[in-house]
Amino acid sequence: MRSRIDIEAPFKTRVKQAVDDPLLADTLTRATLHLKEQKRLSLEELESQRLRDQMRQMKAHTLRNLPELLERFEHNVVMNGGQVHWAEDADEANRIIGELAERHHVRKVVKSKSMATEEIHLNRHLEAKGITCVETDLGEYIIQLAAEIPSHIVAPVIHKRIDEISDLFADKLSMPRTLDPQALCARARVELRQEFLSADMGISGCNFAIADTGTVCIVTNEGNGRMVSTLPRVYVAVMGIEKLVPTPQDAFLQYQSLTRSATGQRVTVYLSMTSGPRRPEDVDGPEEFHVVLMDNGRSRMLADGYGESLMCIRCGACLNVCPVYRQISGHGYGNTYSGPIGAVISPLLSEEMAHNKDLPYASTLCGACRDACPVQIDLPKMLLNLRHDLVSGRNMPGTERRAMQGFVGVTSRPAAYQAAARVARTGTRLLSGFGDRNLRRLPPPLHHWTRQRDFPPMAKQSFREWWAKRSGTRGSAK
Amino acid sequence: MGQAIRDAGIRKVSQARQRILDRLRQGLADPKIPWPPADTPPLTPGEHMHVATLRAEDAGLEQRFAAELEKLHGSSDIADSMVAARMFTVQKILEWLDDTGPRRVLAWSELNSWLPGLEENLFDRDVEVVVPESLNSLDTRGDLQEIRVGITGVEVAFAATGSVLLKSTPGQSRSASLLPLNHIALIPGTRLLPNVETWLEQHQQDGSLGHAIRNSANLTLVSGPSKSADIESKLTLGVHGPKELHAVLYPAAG
Ligand code: SF4
Repeated sequence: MRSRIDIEAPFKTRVKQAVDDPLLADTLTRATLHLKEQKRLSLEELESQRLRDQMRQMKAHTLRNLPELLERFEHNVVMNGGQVHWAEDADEANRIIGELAERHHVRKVVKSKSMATEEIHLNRHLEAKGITCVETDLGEYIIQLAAEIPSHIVAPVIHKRIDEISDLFADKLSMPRTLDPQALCARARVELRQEFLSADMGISGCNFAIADTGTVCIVTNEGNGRMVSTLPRVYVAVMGIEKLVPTPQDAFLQYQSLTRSATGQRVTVYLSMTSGPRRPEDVDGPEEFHVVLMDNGRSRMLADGYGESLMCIRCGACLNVCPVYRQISGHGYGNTYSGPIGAVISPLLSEEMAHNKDLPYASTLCGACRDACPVQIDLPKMLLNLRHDLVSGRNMPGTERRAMQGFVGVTSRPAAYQAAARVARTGTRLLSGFGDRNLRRLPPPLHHWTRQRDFPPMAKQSFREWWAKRSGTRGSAK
Repeated sequence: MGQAIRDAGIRKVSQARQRILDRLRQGLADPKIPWPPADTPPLTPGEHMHVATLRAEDAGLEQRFAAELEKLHGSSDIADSMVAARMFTVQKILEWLDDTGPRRVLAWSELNSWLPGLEENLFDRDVEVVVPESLNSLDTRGDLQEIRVGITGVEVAFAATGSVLLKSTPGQSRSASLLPLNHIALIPGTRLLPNVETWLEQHQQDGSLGHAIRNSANLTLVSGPSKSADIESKLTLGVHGPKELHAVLYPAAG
């Protein structure tokens, strides 16, 4: 069954559709709460703050030295027998991969989940060339059967109930209906194994790559990452230029930070580290190994003052704690990257810029995302900067402009903000009887703002404290 | 790797490469950008924290490994001798090979170097050990699909997370730990370490870390059987990789 959210619809319509779907809200709340609980349990076991600090330092160092690390990585991939391609934007990345596929007479591609390839709409591009693309994550496979786009960075079918999945398997694979997840999984294994064995090319993203050794690392639980990087003749890894880490030690630090933040596991089942194509006497492995290094707006984000968001390790923790995400689900964002991080980076990535000016408003600035982030990225600060940049510099629809002018106005006049926030707090309390539902309307001048987004329950650090800090630390990003 | 191939790789350099690097350098040179800070030092080797560590109450490396693997839905036997290890291994394999399927196992070469006498034991029980030299053709792979059990050693194993590190080399296929429904990993005590950080530090100290990571085309860290929670957050096993992972831990001879 299709999601009830029409992803082609304008942002406002998508939000309304999502909020009005009680089943969806219920499924999402259950799934995100489960992930949150898992995460809490394992984080208690370790010096979580130290891990966050080391991660932040390592990622900041990496960004500061990114040009040199990219050159070192390229050199090492080539020394390992692999090939490196540079793509300025989505079109160029698609063209490179399309040409590789043509050169190798590829008819079928198997893929493991990759936000990078979603970002550039690679499947669409390859399919236009008559190449079949098979998504092989169980969740992505189900989505592909249902012809949707993923709704969550780490758990793509978070919004589907098992009876819907069973209906889908009955419809598309003629499988008898069942409510047993293991039976559905076993069926998918059989279907997908045939695809792996007959594919000519494997494509994955890259969770991180080691500059010192030219090694591409992918993290999976199902093993499809191993399949796509082992069985087909040609293996292509597509990665944003920010995915590097300097050393193997840094890689294992990030690996463990990622698994804990993403799903609360100490380890994932598989961490596949590829350093080049199969060696001469090897039993198996791809004959060719290609890495596509993709910019697609990232270097500009750095120059425009949004460099901090390039430290994101795509763990999805900020989504799980986000009240807006819980209300509207990934599809409400209508983008590859959803949740708070998606609201920041989607408008900044070249391909998606045009229709994403709404997204920085799809957040309540409650701060929960920053508290959850394993790299401590200050997402609320960046969202606010982005709103400011959009209001001051670029054209946007009338309502958006008025809403933002109201917002900027009130936050720069403390008395007005405090008055509004008082009402918001009362409202939050009054509405608590409705579970997660947040306050739907603020008094003027903020009412334009809440026309489109709910006001959140107040977070650990109040907006005022956060604002004060922000005013003190904000650089002069344009 | 020939020089010609390397040159071909480097000649792939496009305008894109130069433009991307230039834009990054320009951006980083601007003192007004709020991030990243100008003076962030790298984490130096040895500074990295040990994320998963042994605890005071751990009875030993083997016990901790077994406990962790069990949490990950795997299983293990702790043997007190190589003879016992061989017995556990054969027993588990026979349990997995039911009467309907072929009596074949997909293995790394020279199983006897992991557990002396294992190949003879399997031969005695009418189990054929298949060690492919090269898996290129789809036909061979199709044939291998019928095999339900894979046997491998390990490069090293980590007790604190119940993980094994597998290295692809001539004779050590990736397929043996990937294609069959069941995987058995042989872990001599000499290859069992507290955690991955210990392994990294050992190689860092003798200057062999880069080599350890990149001298094979693939290293895979495996922690438990293949799993997914994509369907309503419910656990399902054996999505693509093995549905069962069994480890046999034993003291190495001399
Ligand atoms: S912004 Fe932080 S919490 Fe969100 S996905 Fe990225 S790393 Fe994870």
